[in-house]
Amino acid sequence: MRQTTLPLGQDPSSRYLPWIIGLMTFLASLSITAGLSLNKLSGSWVRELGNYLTIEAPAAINGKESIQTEQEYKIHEAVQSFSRIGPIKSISAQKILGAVTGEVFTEEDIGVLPKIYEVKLNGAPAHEISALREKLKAISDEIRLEDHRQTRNTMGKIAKSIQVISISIVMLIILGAISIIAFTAQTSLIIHRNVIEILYLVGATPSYIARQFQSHATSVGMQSFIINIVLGIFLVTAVKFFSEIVFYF
Amino acid sequence: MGLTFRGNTRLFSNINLNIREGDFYFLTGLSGAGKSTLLKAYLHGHCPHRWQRFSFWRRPKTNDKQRLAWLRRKMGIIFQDFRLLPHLTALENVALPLKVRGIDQQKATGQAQDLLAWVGLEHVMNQYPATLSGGQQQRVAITRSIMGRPALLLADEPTGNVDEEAAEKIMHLFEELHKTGTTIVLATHNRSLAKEFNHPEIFLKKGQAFLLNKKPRSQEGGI
Repeated sequence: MRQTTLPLGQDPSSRYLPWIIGLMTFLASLSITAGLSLNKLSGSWVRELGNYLTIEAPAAINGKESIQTEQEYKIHEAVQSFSRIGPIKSISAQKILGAVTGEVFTEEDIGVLPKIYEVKLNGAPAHEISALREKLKAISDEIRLEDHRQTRNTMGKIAKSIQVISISIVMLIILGAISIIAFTAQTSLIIHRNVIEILYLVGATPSYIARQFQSHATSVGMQSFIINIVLGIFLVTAVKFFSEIVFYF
Repeated sequence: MGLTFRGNTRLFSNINLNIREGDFYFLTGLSGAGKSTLLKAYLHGHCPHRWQRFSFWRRPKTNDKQRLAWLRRKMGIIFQDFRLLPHLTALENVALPLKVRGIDQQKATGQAQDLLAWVGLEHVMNQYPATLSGGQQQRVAITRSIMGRPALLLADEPTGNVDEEAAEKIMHLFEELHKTGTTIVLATHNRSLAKEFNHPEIFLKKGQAFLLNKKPRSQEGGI
């Protein structure tokens, strides 16, 4: 003897419900994952970019190395109050450029490039950065100070916008899923009106009828969950496969 | 009892049925006299959504849905169109009243099998309603209605959709049930049936109820 008296599983309205809900929850989880990943990524960007300044000094002024050395000394002096990191080592620059261009750079090649100094701020106030800018300008007009905080702010705004969009998508998907479930339940109520009426007449309580819908919804939820998992595995496998192909070529 | 439809169309003005345990009444009247409506009113509407369309002068306290279910478990209803659940077998249909009460499935099945055997349908208990004849379907419906041992059995034109031979069998089944002490109110437009089976007849006309034939053995009072 069967456990349920309402044939909810045979409804044409709920036939594709597990697939629809499964797909929607999959999209929602994708959106959440993307949002969280972006949040993590933007967080590290913001931390990194917000704490550093970059000083870009010409490799040699009028080809005179002595002036270059003097300039380097002055720059070092100017950034004394900060926690200084730079300049970027020649070997690091070789590696970075090699990775970007695909060519091999020697130390001589790197030597003609401007020298990059990374300056750690350690929460230095804005007026100290302005003062540093003035000092550097006094050393040479060709020395540029890159303040990454503006870029960080822009990046932060973009990341926040993407997060808001991601949350909105999730909310829309949830709202859509709830509407679909509500309308399907309503359709089921209409389809099975006669059966429900008979069940009431033989003494069924509303909770008995509700339990049938609840167990059906649980079953649909479980099916959706399995579909969601299958789609997830498929996506991860596909991403892994295509990334391997890209690296191969 | 008074009954108005949508608050303005008066169906019954003042009907007071005094039915005692073990009585058998025929409820007769012309088409549209309100036989089915009266039975529905006793059953407190078809379902709670439609219940609101009826307004009783003396409305019973049945707003509580649990209480309404409890009240309906005290009554059995049989319809002219059987109203069996098409996706359930005869056995499952008969066991339904016990199932909705939460009674153990094995016990419910056992009782349903016994009752189906009593009405001579043990050979079709695993068949679906669509494969049964009209008479068999009505006997399954009757068996379902008595499954929960109701205090009152309401039958709305139970022989209306079956041939004469099946109708005869069904009427004899009601007689058997009556002998076991079941209280029955059987609505029919066929007044000769009431005369043939020699039970008192409540005749509905213009919203009034009239007691015809004789009073039931069990009571001195009446309508």
